[in-house]
Amino acid sequence: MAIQTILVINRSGGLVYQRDFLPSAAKLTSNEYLILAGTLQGVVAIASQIAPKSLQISAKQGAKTGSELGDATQTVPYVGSLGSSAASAADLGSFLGPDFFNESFTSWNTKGLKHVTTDQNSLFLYQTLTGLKFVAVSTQNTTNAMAVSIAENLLRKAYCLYADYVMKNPFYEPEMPIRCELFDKKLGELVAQL
Amino acid sequence: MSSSTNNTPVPSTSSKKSLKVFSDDIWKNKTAKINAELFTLTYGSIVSQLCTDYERDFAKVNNQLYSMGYNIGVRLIEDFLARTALPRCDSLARTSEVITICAFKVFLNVTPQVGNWSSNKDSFSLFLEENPLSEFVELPMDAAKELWYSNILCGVLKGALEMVQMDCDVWFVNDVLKGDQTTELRIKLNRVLKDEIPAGED
Amino acid sequence: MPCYFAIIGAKDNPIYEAEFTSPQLNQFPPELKELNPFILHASLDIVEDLQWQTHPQAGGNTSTSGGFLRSRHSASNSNCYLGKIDHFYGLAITAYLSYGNMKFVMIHSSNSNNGAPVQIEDGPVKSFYQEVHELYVKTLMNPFYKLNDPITSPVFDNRVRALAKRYLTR
Repeated sequence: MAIQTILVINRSGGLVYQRDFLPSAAKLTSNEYLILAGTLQGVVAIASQIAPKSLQISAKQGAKTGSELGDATQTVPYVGSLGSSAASAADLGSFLGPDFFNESFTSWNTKGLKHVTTDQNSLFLYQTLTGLKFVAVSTQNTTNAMAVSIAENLLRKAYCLYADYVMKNPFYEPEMPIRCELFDKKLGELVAQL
Repeated sequence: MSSSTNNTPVPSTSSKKSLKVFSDDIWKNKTAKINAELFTLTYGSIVSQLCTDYERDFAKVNNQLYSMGYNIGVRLIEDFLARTALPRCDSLARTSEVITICAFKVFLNVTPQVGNWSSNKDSFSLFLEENPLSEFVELPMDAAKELWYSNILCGVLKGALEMVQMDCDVWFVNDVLKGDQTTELRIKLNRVLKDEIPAGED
Repeated sequence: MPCYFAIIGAKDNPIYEAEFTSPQLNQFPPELKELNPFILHASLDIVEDLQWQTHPQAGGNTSTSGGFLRSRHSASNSNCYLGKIDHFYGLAITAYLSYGNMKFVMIHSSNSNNGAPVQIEDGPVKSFYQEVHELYVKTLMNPFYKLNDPITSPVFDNRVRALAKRYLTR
């Protein structure tokens, strides 16, 4: 699974970050990306309204609450350890510990859009409590649960990088397009490890 | 929110405990740390510089600290959520636990006590037994009345809670620096900004 | 025995002074009391001489005579204490230098006015200086205190007086 594009969408549906990782892939114009971001924002909202009850992830399952933190059993493979040695695992800034995300992790996006698969691509979406959306597009169509959780894990790490290198950059203005070299660099390292 | 059909879950002691274990682990093993004195002195020099810059108009200093805190809070919340991946709190009681047991622990390595709940459960107080910001501080005579030395904390909480769609008022009630018995910080929930809660959550 | 204690800043400006007397002990004679600051400042020259010497000839009855003063080879702060550095008609003057060149100086007077030289007990006096030094460092950490400003904090004053009671009044 190769990551083709990573997008960050702010709370109001504006595209604040877009980066291609495969030079060969067909490019969209920046305008098209903006439209894509807006569309995704809308689709998530619509999906949350029309998702059948049976498909919704129950609150218990979807959002691991504090009471269940202790008995984390399911383990998400550490992204850094796939394909490369643990020693060269990407440095996540102030987020220490090589196993930071070994614990099971489930998003609390229980009704909205999480994952779209087409013939050629898969799209994964991770939404934070503040309304930020992290989107990854991969070059494979996959419905494999493992792949989904790896993608989610990757996006959460992207979120960590965002928290460190974007939000802690004193010259970054919230809600504005992200132009932070460090974030670019770190995200590149993270994706390169897949 | 769908959880409103259930009785508001009373936070059990066991969930409190595991939140504590969880937070301790994050603090111990997964967080980069700096020297406490460097931190305390940095904050101290900011406050005393503000006092000079505003010509000892302490009301202005309080406001400035608050707005600095607010700007920190709206950024820091992302760090907190990325770090902990905690779900949305289902009650204000839960919020108070997450703030004290988790957030204060992870960022300042202290755990304030929660108390003084209002009768309709929309506001509570945090009692800071120790305050890393004011470790060496003695307020000068003229500042003792007006200056809320740690007012930045109020701003941080305000900003952070607002980003998770809770409109709150946060202010200091007491401060040991002023000769009070306790350091008490009050949080009052005005309303939950339901319209802004991201789609797809319960 | 009554003592007069002062902290002298880098520009030879006094930043703190205190007199430790107790009613049952002799007070400073009133005519001498006025002179205390002058006597104390007069001995600052000696402190400064000692400050930059590698082999300070500190008073003969101190344990710190000889050895490197404020040497980078010595990790202990024991060589901050200069011991008895001067005397003035039966009054003894001791001094202590912080690493930031703040001068802690004290005049010891004898209980009896017979003019016999005061005997300094180095142990307690040194402990007193070291603890005052610690208090001074804490004061310096207060963001509202500026280097070389007079120390006005009543807390500091109370603590120094408590230390004096513990170590010096006997």
